[in-house]
Amino acid sequence: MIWSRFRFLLPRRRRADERETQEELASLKELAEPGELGNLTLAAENARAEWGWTWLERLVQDLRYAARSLKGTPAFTLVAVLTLALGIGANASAFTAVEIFFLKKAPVNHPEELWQLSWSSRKRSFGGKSLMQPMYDAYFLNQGKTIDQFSYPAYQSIRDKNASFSEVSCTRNELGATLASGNYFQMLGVPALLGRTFTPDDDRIGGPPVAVLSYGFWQSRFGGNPDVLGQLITKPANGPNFATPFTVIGVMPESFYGIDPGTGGIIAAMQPALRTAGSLTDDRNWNTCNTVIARLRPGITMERARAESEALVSQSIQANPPPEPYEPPRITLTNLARGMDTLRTGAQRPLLILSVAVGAILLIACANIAGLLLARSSARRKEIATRLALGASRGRIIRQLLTESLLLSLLGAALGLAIAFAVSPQIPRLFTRTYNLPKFPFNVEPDLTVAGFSVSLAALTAMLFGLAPALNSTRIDLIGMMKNSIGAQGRTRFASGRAMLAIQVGLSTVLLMGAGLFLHTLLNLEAVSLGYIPRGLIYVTVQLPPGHPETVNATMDQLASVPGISSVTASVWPLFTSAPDTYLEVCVPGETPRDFDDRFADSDSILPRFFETWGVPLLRGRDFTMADGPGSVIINQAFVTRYLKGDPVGQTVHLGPNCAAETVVGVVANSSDRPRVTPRPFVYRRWSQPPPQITYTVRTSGSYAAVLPALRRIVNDLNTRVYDPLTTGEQYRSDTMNQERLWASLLSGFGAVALFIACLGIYGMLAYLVARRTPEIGIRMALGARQREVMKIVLRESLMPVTLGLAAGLAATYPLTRIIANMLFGVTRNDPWTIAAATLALLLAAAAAAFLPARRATRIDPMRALHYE
Amino acid sequence: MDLLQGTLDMLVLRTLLVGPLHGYGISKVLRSSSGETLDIEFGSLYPALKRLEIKGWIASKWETSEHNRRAKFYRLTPAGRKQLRQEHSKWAEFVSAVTRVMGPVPGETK
Repeated sequence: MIWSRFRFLLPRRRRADERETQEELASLKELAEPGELGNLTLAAENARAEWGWTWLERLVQDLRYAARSLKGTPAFTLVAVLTLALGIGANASAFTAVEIFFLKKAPVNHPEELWQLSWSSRKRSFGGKSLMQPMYDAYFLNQGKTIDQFSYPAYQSIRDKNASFSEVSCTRNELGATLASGNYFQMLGVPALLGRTFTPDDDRIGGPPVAVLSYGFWQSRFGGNPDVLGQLITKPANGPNFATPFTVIGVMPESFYGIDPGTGGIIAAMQPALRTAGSLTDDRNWNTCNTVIARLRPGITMERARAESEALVSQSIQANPPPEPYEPPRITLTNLARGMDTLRTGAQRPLLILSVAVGAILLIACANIAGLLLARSSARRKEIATRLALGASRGRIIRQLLTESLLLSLLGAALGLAIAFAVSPQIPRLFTRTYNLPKFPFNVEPDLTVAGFSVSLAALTAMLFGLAPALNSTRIDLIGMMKNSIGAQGRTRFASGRAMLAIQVGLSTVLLMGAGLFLHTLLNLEAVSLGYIPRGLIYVTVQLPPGHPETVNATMDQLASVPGISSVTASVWPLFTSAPDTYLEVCVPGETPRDFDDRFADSDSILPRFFETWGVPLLRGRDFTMADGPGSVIINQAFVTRYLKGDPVGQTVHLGPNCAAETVVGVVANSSDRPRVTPRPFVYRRWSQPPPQITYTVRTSGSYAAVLPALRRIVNDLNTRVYDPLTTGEQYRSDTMNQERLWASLLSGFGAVALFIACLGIYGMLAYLVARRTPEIGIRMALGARQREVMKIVLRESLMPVTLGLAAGLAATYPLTRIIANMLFGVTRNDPWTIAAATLALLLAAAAAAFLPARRATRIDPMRALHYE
Repeated sequence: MDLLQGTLDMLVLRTLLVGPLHGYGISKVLRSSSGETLDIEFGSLYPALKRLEIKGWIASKWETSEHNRRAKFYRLTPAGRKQLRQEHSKWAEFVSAVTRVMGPVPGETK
């Protein structure tokens, strides 16, 4: 029965049915009295409707009609489709990013069964004197947050004694790698793409250290070579070498990024990788497991699992209670269906900016097309009036017009999707700086959801830009139309055209302001002094060749002998690098640190001439000499301000976990790679013996090109691992501004697109206006109006909506820019220069767009114009 | 007299229970068997035939009529027969329910 209904869609079947109906009705007509059967055409039509495809027939009819009518105005169609493609394409691309961060489920088996355990407690003496104590007081408990870390014995107790979870895993982030308990992959339920994942058998102290690589890391480090299995991996994507190299036993599929997409590309079995087994039995080290994740058994309630874990953790603490009183931890379970959110938190703001920008583009596109349609509908008024007069219902014509809009939208969506496919591989660039990942962990490509989104968006936009013109153009005074006069109704339609124009101008203003603020920020960032001199600086970070500490001096001599090099130094890190292992505890007797940052200074170990080479001014005291040993430190101004009183030189400071006394020999100016961040206290120490990684820095008075080949040769001859290749100060500087540059160019691009669309709108409206007012202008000219006056009439029409839009746009910018406020630098949200520049750009563009139609108006031939009327 | 919604289909099926008929025949039988009370417009009847045919309750075939003219004759299919039985009992239920509610004609009771 359903089949027969579908069969009716076949043209052949329909023709046959039609013929048969006609035949049958003809035969019946002969049987009946004349007129007895009534209106047979209607009967046949109603019979046809019984097939239930009338709506489709009408739709096809409407679509055909729409296609024909769009084909008749190719210029309009092209502009509309391109505008829509830009709008929908931008939104589809942004949605691709939103989907990746917020909608995709974690790529593991039944992620909804996975829960992360965390806890809170006000007296945590069971956690020993580990680093977390003071840090967490300030950081977390005041904010009602929970603590993720567990001691290994506490983890073991949950893992081995619970009845609620099928598997409980412990992971720990070391520099550049994730260490995971042997059951990690079993718990996630994801098999390896290549080789195998590790199992609890691999996870034992003294066992061979094994690791599984993410697809991205495998691609970037090994070029996707399948021979990777069995190879040793000694170094993460960023940072120094591992204490012990890992043997690669497997590669994960591309879709896999673990539970937390923010983590890197190497997942190693935990126990073989730990330097000592001590942390596995240490009750007081609540830093061993950074993350505990469990898979809930089906049918067990979350609350039961939570209570059970809480009891087990308490038991485990009770087995070896701390001497001081404590409050047993209260466990919290967090569902991981969508994965953990380190990546997500960082992505929120960029995505928000992106959404606002693309939303604005789409609205501009809608307003633009609505404006064009309004203008176009006046051209079609006779056609529509005729159809109305012939008995078509208004609803039917509105549906017809909306179908036309829909067709436009769908064409735009198809093209927009193509744009999204082309653009989306660039999306990771918006985020990678935030995460410093070897490769963005996701496959960024529009999928079916994005396609569905685009089509829905197309339908929505069709309503948005099509409804007002459709309603407007069917509200026709038939009698007036037949008399062929340009009635008063044209005026109201024109008012909505102006409103559309004002919307476009307003939204363009917002985008231009955004672009202007970022451009200004970029200029400021490039101009600001960071406390060092990038020009002429070159550095390289390498691994110290084993067993040859004396090579450092030899290398320094070699570097110094290169012609053009004026100064050479060495340190562990490049200037102002802040890495976890550069934190140095500052002891201030009788003072409770406010928070983690307050308790620690950053530090580096350096050789003499470090400040001279980097161009950091020495404010007081002196530089290190070769004679300085441990116990002498140079500090920055921020350290002085925070911790010291009086003349800092010669004062004693207490540093490190043992609060060792050290003497200040010099004070240098603050320097920073992030101008936005208040400089942190920094301690420079003279290194006593060469560290495992060395950054050599040289300063050249001449050009980079003159010295780089020689430097490259020297680095090559070191025959060691290079962590950071030869980098110039300017490169380094510009890398730190990547994100600002990207936003500036992105928003400038959006602003330009918006401006272009708005200009099209201005041009379209004025061209239409000139066409409409040709008779009037003709009369004026016949009565002696000069060209200038005529031009003024036309330009004045655009002045009002442009001014209104501009004012509204500027007003809307202020609250909207709050989301980018802390991405700006040295420029306020209502910066007068940016406002002036955006206004000027807009007015110039508007004037350019208005000029052509205005000129056309001045060339109207009064005779012909009057004849027209 | 107006028909209740959906009643026409049932009436057509009932008409065909006796034997195959063409469209005009169905119309005439309906009128006469209702004692000229039901005058169903052919404009409504014809789509109903199409509807029933699509549903598979009746089938059609070109045959020669009593006056030696070709006409399309409709007959009940087994599915249609079953449908008629259902409709019939539903109808009976409906009528008795309505009758119970309505009771005797008001004003004629004592």
